[in-house]
Amino acid sequence: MSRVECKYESEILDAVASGRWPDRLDAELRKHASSCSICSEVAMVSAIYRDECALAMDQVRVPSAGLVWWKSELRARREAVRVASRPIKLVTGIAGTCSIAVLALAILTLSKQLDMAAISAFVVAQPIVLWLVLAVILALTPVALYFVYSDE
Amino acid sequence: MIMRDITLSELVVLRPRTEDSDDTLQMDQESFGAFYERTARPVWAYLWRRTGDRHLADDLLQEAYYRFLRARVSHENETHRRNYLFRIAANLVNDNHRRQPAPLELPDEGTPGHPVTEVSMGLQSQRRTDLNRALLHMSPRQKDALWLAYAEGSSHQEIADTLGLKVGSVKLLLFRARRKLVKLMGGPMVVVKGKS
Repeated sequence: MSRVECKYESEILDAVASGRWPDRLDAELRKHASSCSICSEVAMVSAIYRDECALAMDQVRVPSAGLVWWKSELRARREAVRVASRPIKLVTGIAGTCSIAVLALAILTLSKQLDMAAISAFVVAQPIVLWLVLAVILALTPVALYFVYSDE
Repeated sequence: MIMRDITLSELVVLRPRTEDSDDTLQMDQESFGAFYERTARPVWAYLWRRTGDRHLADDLLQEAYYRFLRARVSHENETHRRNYLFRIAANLVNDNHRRQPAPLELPDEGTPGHPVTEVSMGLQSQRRTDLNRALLHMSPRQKDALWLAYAEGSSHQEIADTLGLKVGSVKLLLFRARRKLVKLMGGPMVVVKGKS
């Protein structure tokens, strides 16, 4: 396998960093660099990246440390609240599912026991009862939703 | 150093918080401030150069420091801490690139305060165009290694820590990355004159 590094690499890097490359290089290093492909590549790439870094540094406009800290702290707190409320949400979900299941079971049981034909006949005869039930549901729904979502 | 000021309303909100000790972050505010002053500019420069988008670099900078602060990692020294931050930044860039690869934006030419003459500006502009084109053909890991080695001046060991590689692998990675870049930019005949 061919070699991947040269012992003069660090000297070449120093020369580029200090601005001695290529004009003010000492003779020995210059002679070596002209014959060593690794060192000539290191010099070229290093010089390119030094200029790139200088340009990037000119463009830097970072927020203050206080702002970054504050945003991080705020986000960490929000994250902590989210993690802490996860079990509560889980329990609420299970309770809701259980309630729906019990309600469905109750309706099924009652529908078997009640005379649906008689109930239908009563509702048709007394439509005011149906309207009253609908009105109560419409009035209570926003109140129920308010209590459910008021914490959020 | 150019910094954005905190607005008055932000300061008002911030003031009561500074007195609290927050155990969800791994540093206190004072230590963080000092560390941030030393690292924010090079990290932003890296993020900007790798993404080519200053707004994305801003977002990734905030994200990098957030993840750094939340990480439960003990650091042996400042270098290790800095390498860890760069590692987070590199992962963020690469994750972002996988989600939405974007072409590199060419930096503004003739930035005020940039010490280049008109002649060298033309050469630099051409070279930057060549570099941007060449970088499109290089892997994220090669780009990371080149930036860390030649822009940041990191040692092989530091690059190995940052990229999660062995030192031997870093040497080989750098060798191949250099060779590929030089070839893509027209070969080693293009000798760049260093700044004096």
